[in-house]
Amino acid sequence: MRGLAAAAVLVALASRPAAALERRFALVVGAPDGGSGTQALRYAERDAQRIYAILTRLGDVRREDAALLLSPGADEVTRVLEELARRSEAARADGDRTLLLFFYSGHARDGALLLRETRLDLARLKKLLEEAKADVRIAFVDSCRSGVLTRAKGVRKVPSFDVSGAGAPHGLIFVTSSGADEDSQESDAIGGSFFTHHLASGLLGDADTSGDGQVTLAEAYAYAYSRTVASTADTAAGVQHPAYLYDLGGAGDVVLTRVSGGGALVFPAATEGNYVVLDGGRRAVAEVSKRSGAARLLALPDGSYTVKKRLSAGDGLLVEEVKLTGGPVEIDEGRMRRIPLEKDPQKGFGGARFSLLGGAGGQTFFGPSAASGYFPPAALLGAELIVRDDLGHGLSWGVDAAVGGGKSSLGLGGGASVPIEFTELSSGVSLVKDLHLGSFTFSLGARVALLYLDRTFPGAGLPSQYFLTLTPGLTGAVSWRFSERFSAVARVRGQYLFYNVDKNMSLGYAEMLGGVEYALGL
Amino acid sequence: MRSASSARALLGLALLAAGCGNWSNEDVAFVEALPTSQHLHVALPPSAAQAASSGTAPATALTVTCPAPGASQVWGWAQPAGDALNALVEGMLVFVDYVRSITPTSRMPDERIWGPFSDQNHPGKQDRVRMSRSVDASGLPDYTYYFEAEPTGSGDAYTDLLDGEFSGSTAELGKGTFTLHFDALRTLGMDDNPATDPTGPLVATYDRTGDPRLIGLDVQNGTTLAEFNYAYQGFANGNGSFSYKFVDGSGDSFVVVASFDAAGEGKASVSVTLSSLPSTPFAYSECWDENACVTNVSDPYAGTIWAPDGISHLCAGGVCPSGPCPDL
Repeated sequence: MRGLAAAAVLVALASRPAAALERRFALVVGAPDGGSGTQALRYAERDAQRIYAILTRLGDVRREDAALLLSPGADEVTRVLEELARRSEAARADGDRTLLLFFYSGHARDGALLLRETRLDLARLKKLLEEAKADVRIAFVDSCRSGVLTRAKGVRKVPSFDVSGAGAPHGLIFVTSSGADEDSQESDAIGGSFFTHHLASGLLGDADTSGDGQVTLAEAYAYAYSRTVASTADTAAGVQHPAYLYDLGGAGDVVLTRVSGGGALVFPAATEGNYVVLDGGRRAVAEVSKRSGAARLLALPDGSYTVKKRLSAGDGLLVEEVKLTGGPVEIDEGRMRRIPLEKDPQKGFGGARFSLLGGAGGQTFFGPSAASGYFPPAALLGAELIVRDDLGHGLSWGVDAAVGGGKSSLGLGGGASVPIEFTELSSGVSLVKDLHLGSFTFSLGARVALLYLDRTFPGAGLPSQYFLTLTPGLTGAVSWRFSERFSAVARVRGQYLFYNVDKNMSLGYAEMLGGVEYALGL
Repeated sequence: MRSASSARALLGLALLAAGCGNWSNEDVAFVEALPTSQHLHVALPPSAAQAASSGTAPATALTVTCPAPGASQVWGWAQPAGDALNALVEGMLVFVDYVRSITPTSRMPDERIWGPFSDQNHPGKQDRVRMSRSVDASGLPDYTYYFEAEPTGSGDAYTDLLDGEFSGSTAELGKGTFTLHFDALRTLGMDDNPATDPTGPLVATYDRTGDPRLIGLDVQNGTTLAEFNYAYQGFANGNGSFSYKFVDGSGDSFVVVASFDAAGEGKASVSVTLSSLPSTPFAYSECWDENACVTNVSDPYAGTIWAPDGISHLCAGGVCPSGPCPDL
């Protein structure tokens, strides 16, 4: 109830004029790995990426004034936050008004943010923000039991923004995704945490209840609060109540995003209901929950989107594909296609992520088949398209191809041998289960491949030989993500091959590959 | 229809899973047991060619004008003889080279068969090659092979054209023998040089298991030479020896035993049996230097009234050259 009351207060404040801030700094952190004893979060990094993109596109935060940290340690977070605070202080010294915004999506426990194997105490975070020389400091913390922040000492709770004072707003505000004793939840369907998803939707425009083309802090909070509570009401983990704590003085609200003037989906005044907007990867990027009577604008970057609306009768969906190219596009339900629920484009695609892997390695056969010269070791170059989480949580599939070969000699006994040059091509499909542990991903699964081998005997005047077969096997990999899009990957495959030309032999071989994986379409 | 398509797809997958192709180490082992012309090549030092060209060809850069009594005639015989033998062997083994270049038609554990396939050079004939393998007491493989032909459509009436056997891992390092049946070639109309090819069998033996490497060729019922027997030893250091016996068209019999080194100097003994005096063999020996020039002659008949210049014709006025003779 406290949250609802606070939301009401903040919404009320939304009608007050919002003062402009001249220079904005933002630190956005996505931390899926909470160290030992925690389970890796699936969407913490995506949450951070979404907020970072919104702030730099719509939030007047220049890219050079924004930092996105994915899976950082506590020291790195502290260092970057202090650096941004110093820059804010310098800007203020030049006469600018400044805003410092901190966003965190990740684990928290026992009064600290968990950053891999390091901890950043919430008290320390508060102190850093309190001491930061910025006119307004805002912290969004999307983590379990983050509401403990609003119970900590050092920050004054007030029933409402003090807007009676003279001058522009100034002060410190904490917004948390859950209460002090609540879990913050993620959703595969929306591909993110509930709170961040609704916060993002609100910042994109759905929270602009005043219709002035600006989303203020009060509007964003009120929207995120109501939508998070509604979305989690029926979850197994229980309802999740965002909370806030602020010490804000001065006049007016803080404008977080400006949503008019660019590419946008426009929901006309007559439309009513819950709409979900999916990006090209069928991941939810925003939701719109509106009543008829006022138009709603959702500011999105250029691209292709799918807008879906669940019919109230529950027996179908309305779907429309939309392409944004810099201007507004109005949603017309008359153009939307009606499809059955089982063809919901969002289902099964909530977390699908494409990536490309390229690398080099080798192939070696086990046992006498290699020793007798049938299949000597080969060097390989390989590439793979991987679709992660496409078949469910942690279930991925991939299509791979490799080319390789080498030189060897075929021993014929008595010291005689024939030189060999061989090449091979392989192409396979694999189904793997991924296990995420922080920035590491361990994968294990099955693979079946078509293997083509060809060899010649230089100078011997012998005909070339080939062998073509299907080879089933197991595949395993360890990948370590070292940047937003790149991961280092070590992969091992064990394959079975049935050879039947000279005689029947059941053979096994291993393929080792080291490479780099590039994530597409983040 | 759908089930039929599914069945075909399953069958295709099953076949792929079982593998297909000709990736065979055994195929390589079989064909590597077949001799090639390279294995039976007679290699002589350049001075042999020089000796062969003296008196019959203009001087070349290699040719040195020899002082009396001139270039060695015996050494000069070696080069054309070697060339003729190389050509003969190459001709014999063209078919072997072809078989090496194609994949066997059927495989059994210790047997390979190529063909039957149409003989491109002899329309109306089809060929087949069979090879089988066994292992001797020492563990070395022994191969036997047959190159056969028949008129197309005659129904398994193959005639043996070439057969052989071989012991060892590869022809490069083993020993063997094979026989080319010219009479069978003629019978099938497959002899491309009936005017010059022998009418009897040509038997080749070779042993490449040690140093020297040995090559022997025996032709019976030759057309230009009634009988030809050739043995060659080639050492790794370039030294060699050869012996051959032939009967020319007049019935005179020659037996030559010669040795040479890598530089080309050498010595030879020659035994001549004239058809008019079959009970009286004549013999002489000669040595030559690296330019093929005769340096030393031993001719017992030199200075006699029957042969004042000797049987060799190298001892003018009964005086034979007495220069150096290599110690071979």
